[in-house]
Amino acid sequence: MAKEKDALDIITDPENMVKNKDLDFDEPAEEVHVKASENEEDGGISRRNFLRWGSAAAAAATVAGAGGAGFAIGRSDDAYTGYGRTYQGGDMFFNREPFRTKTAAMMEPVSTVIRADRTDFIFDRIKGIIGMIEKGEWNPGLGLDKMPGVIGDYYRKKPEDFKIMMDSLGKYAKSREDWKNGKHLRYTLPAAYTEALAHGGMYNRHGSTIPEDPDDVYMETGEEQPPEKWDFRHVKRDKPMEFKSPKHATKLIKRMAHLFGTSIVGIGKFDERFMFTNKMRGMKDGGAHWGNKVPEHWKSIIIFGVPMYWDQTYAAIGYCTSYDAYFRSRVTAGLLERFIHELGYPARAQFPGYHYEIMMEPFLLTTGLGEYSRSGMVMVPELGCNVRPAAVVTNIEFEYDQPIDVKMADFCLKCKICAETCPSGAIPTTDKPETVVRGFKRWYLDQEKCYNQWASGQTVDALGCRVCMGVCPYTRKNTWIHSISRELEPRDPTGLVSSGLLAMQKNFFKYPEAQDFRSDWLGGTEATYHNPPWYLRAEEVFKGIDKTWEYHGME
Amino acid sequence: MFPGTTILNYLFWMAIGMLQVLIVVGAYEWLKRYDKKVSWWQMVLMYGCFASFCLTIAGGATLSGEFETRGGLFFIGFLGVPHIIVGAIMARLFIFKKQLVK
Repeated sequence: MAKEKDALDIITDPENMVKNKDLDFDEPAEEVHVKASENEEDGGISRRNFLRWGSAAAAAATVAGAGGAGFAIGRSDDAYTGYGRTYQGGDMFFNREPFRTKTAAMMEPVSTVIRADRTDFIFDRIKGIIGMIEKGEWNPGLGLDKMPGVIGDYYRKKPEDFKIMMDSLGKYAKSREDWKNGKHLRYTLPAAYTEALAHGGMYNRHGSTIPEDPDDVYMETGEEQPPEKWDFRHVKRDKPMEFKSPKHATKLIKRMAHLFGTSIVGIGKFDERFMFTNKMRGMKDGGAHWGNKVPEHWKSIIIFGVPMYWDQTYAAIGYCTSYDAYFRSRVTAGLLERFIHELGYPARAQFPGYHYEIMMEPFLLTTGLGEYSRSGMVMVPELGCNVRPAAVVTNIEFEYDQPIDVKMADFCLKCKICAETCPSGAIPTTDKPETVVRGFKRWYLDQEKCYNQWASGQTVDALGCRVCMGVCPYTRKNTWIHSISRELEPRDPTGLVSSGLLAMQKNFFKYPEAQDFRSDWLGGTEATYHNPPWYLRAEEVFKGIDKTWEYHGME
Repeated sequence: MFPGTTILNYLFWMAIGMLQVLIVVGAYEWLKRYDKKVSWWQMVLMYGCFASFCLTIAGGATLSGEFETRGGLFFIGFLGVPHIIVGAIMARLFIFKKQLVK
């Protein structure tokens, strides 16, 4: 204890004094400061050194963090709209209110509006042709002149389309044969995925799994199911629950639509201009003799949609299917239809692939969900062209949504990426819309050419192409970089933002040539825009599959 | 960014925020060390350029994360190089300016 010094002894001990002859405590404070700084440079960690080198390290860390965070955001599945936040309605994140307008682009009639007939719907034509062949009423050898009925009449007005359709059916047959003979081992996983959704989810041996379909009941019982009967089939209440106001009804039904799984939803007045003539499910021959009647209780339409899974959409043709989105939009349609019945109102689900009395696209426009695109489909701000809609028609009074003008249609005037990469040449390349389709001047997708590609594509069911959906610049993830574009572009009156974005899109990104998307037996390389995800690459998980092909898409 | 956790994202961005304070305070220390004087608005401009450069890196990396690596690299190249040029010009004008002869 005797040898111990107290603090004051240590400070005053000359041995402990600083031995720097230049350091003179009598000098001004500033001088002392400078000398002290020099001492720090000898390598000691001082506050100043920490700040200097710390700031350099922080700058490097910030750049690295920005890169790392950006990459993680871009790679994250959470950024795929339609997957994960649906039940809260968070997928419908674009605020449409500032962009409401009276009439959507290309929806102002330029001549008398003509309702589409069932023969205008390509799948009804195909169904009709196959029916004729199966019943022996007609075969391609008899030629167009002898093709009976309304489909014959349709094609006699469009003989070029007939030629394309016959070619398509030939390709379809070859494609099916190829699958049967095991040619497409490469596509084993997308095929299994497609079949699981189609036949595990959408269809059973009696017809549609969900929603119920009046055609199935008609076929089972032979009893016609007119909408006045079918649309009320689960209504148990003597009188419907009365909403406090149309606004309350709108709010509730939109919330429930999200809860039942949809990504986007709009509600509009039912517009008979967009209802098919001579088409009514549940009636004899699919309502071929229905005429132009409109059920009285079809007053409002709730229309909604979900995207196809994104990784596969970008890997169209071979690795993509519509059925994942179809399945989920059908689930929403079935649940919402029943929910409305439970409230005491009539409701009728309209759902993909072909269970409709209405055309979906016009209602997506009139309810302000999106705008017409060059490819003939509707684009919506959150999903681009990657939206697969379904709807429920009812007589509930709602507060209706108005169309929007977010300049997506204007972007299409300049873009043309979908037209340039379309393997069938079905998408118009003209600078402006030139075709008048049943009273509206708009872009027109050549159905026959489009189906020709479907029929020859490398998918298990020889259905679908979807290249135009994947390459559309609007079909992008919900990441900050795309959100900035989404928000800026519609607010820019000069069009410079869209021109700049388009220049980047065309120069920074690599798209396969249109021809490359085709099947190998048609001179293509079966290219994809993006390479398929690992879980759809059969060679990565199965024995006995030699990889004899190259992936040509972006990684 | 950190799947399966709800806290790490916030901690990450808080850490990045704290680093920004260190960057600015440290920058002033460097300026003092070399006897350079930079006004507040010049510092704001230079930091803005740095932040914008970071966003460019983040944007390119985001595209890369979206399996658009080619687009991402072009993005960084096309927008990043102008940032470096502008940054260098600002450094020349604001930091390494010629001293006025008394």
